Amino acid sequence: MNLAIRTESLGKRFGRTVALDDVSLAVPEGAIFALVGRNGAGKTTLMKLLMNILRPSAGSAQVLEGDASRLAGKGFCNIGYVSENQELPGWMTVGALLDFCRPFYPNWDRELAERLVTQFDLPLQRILRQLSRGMRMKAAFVSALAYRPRLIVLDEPFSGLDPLVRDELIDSLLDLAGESTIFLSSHDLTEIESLASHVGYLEEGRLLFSEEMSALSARFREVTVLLPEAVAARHDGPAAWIDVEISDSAVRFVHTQYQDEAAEREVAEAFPEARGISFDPMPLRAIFLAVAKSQRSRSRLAQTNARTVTL
Amino acid sequence: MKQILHIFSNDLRRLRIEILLSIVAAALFAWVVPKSWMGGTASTGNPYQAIAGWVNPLVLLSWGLLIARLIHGEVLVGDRQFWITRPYEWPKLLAAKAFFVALLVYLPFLLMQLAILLQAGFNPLSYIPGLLYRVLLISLVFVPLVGLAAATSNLVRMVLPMLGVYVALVAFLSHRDNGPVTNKFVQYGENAAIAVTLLLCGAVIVLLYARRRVLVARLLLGSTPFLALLAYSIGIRSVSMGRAYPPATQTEPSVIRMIPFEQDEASRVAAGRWGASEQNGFHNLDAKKWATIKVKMRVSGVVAGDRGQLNAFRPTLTAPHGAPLELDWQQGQEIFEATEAPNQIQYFVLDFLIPRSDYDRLKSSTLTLHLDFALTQASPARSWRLPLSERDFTIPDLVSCSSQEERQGDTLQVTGLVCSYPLGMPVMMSLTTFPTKGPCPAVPAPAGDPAAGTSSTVGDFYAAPATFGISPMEGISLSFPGTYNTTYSGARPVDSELSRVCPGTPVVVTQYRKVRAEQTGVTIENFRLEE
Repeated sequence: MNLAIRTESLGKRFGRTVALDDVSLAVPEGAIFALVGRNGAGKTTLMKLLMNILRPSAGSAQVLEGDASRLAGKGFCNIGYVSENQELPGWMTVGALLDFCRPFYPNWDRELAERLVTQFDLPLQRILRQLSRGMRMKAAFVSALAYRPRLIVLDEPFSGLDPLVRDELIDSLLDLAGESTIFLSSHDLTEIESLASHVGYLEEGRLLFSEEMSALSARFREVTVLLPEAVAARHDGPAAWIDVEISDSAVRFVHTQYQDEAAEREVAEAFPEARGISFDPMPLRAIFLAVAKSQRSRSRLAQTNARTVTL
Repeated sequence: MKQILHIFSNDLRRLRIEILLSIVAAALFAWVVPKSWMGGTASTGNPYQAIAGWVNPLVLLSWGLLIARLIHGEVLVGDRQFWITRPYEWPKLLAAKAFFVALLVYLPFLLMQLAILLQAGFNPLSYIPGLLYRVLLISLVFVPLVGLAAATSNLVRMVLPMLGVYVALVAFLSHRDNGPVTNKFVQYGENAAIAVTLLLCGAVIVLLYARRRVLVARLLLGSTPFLALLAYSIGIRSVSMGRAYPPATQTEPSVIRMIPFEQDEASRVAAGRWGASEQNGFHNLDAKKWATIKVKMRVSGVVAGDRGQLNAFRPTLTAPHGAPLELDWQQGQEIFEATEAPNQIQYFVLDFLIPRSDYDRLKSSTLTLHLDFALTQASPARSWRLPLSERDFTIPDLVSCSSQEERQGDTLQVTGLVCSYPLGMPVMMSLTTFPTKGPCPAVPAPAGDPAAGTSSTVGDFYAAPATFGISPMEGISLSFPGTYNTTYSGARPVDSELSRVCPGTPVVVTQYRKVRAEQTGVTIENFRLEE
């Protein structure tokens, strides 16, 4: 399998702050890879490292078979990068921006550019500084997609945009999905669920998992076990059970390694007195909330232990 | 090349207003500067002089703004810029910016120089080395500006450190110890400072464009003024005097001789005392640290028509039972010529600094003062004879002058010449006029008595081919005050008559060539410092 992006133990520090720690990631060619995580998790830092905007403190990254730390000049002919906080040349009109970009790219597709301009309803004569944020993002998209890049890197591209603009942008991406690898970060889990083929989850600079969307959906189940009263409190669970909630007559948790009969047998064995057990598939949003909550309680526990040791 | 031209043409479109502003300012300057010469550069009633004074900084500001806006078009600082993830190749981006600066800053600067030179009556082709040197000097403004713009993200952030460095430099220079400065070797210091400045700023620019290493670049840029000052100090002290001024030998003895001024000679002129004095012409001097010594000398051996120039001297003071105190080489400014009149003694005063602690230690002793002199001997190369009139006159490739006239009672006399010369101080030249005794006659003008000519000598064999500035013309004033010719009987004056330079009197302009640079010395025994 050819990889569009590969990182090995990639790390980035800003002074004493660890922004990214030991991230090893593989993005297959042709994938739509969604990088998710809370604010400050390190998504933007990872993207900037891949685009050689920042230099890594540790590890290495390969982008389109080349060392990311040497990515420059012609290397960007096959990469389209759009970021939510990118500073476009505000004095240019949309038309001037596209005219300026065109000679840089041997593969510039005029027809595609015109089609995207029409699709996005972009005013070519308006200067970028006077456009709304959504319009500016559309202009950035056209300038980054019109040369049919092999890799499209998008940092929070839909953040703060109205649903209509988001749909337009997603449609344009899906049009190119077959020929390009798309690596994007987003908070919008619902949209990512409909778009992404792969997903990675960053938490406090560490990559907690990275896998195909279908595999992720398959291995996460919300498990509800109904028990006789006052029995539930006695039960603990294995490490694969996260976000465990216990009430008088029920135990609820998220099974992170669900595999049909084996998992069901495992739960049944753990709760022989169970009056009923249900395994419900989870939407992406619920999976991430559970993982995030579990991660947070683990780090709180780790901090408490550390404090106890210190004391 | 395609990418260079593409970025260049984009900058042209973006900066059309700034370009227009800078071209208008440069054209205005080239137009107004020659107008400001009308009536001579000393003329006070010429409104164009004030306009030229205002346009001068405007030209520099417009170029500074253009450079800043050009570089900030593709900001190198930060991680949000659109262009950094586009297929820009840094050498091409840098080349596009360099091409822009060459075409829209350096070329207008050069054209402005040529236009002003032509209007002043000088052929620019004769000044190509000077013009190139001036381009190098103006790079001391443009190259650091490019570096500073590259290391900042906008105009405000660019101006603030400039102000900071300016304040730091002013504070540094105003508080530094202004000890002896060997000004004659300023050129060596300047060359070292220019080289260091351009090298460091060039490194900053390449570092930023190639690697966008902002922190290292800023550190380098911030240290540049101070490293340039250091290079300057090292440069002026690194001159090999033995090589620049070979010591006179027995087979090739010194032609110009420096002789201590004798006590009995002092009685014939109304000037000063033999020995030491603390009054001096040194500015910004910390009197607690430095003392001034003045020594009166006279000169012999200058051949008639020739000139001798004292470029530098080095004093060494020795106490009877102590080690010699050898001071640094110090500046000399005097130009000597032969004097034929038996009752005239040409003398000059050397003043130099020694540390106050040494002065206090030595002042109770009878000392031996040894002086080494670095001298240049010059002979006439070309000369021109012209009548002094109201009209300007130009000596091709040398100088352009206009005479200043003044009415005193019934008589109109020429009080001086205001001359301008292109780019840098010309090589040594003298202007000789012929004063007339009594009031100036009406037309026809006097022919002048060649034997009674008085001359002023200016110029320098060691000056740089150009000075820093945006106008290529520099000015000097030579005054011809009415002088009293006094004849003596022994030490007593017996007769005095006013001489003045009259309109129509010829002026002889003589250009000199360097014949020899040499080192000679003189020892003065029984030298005492004033208590």
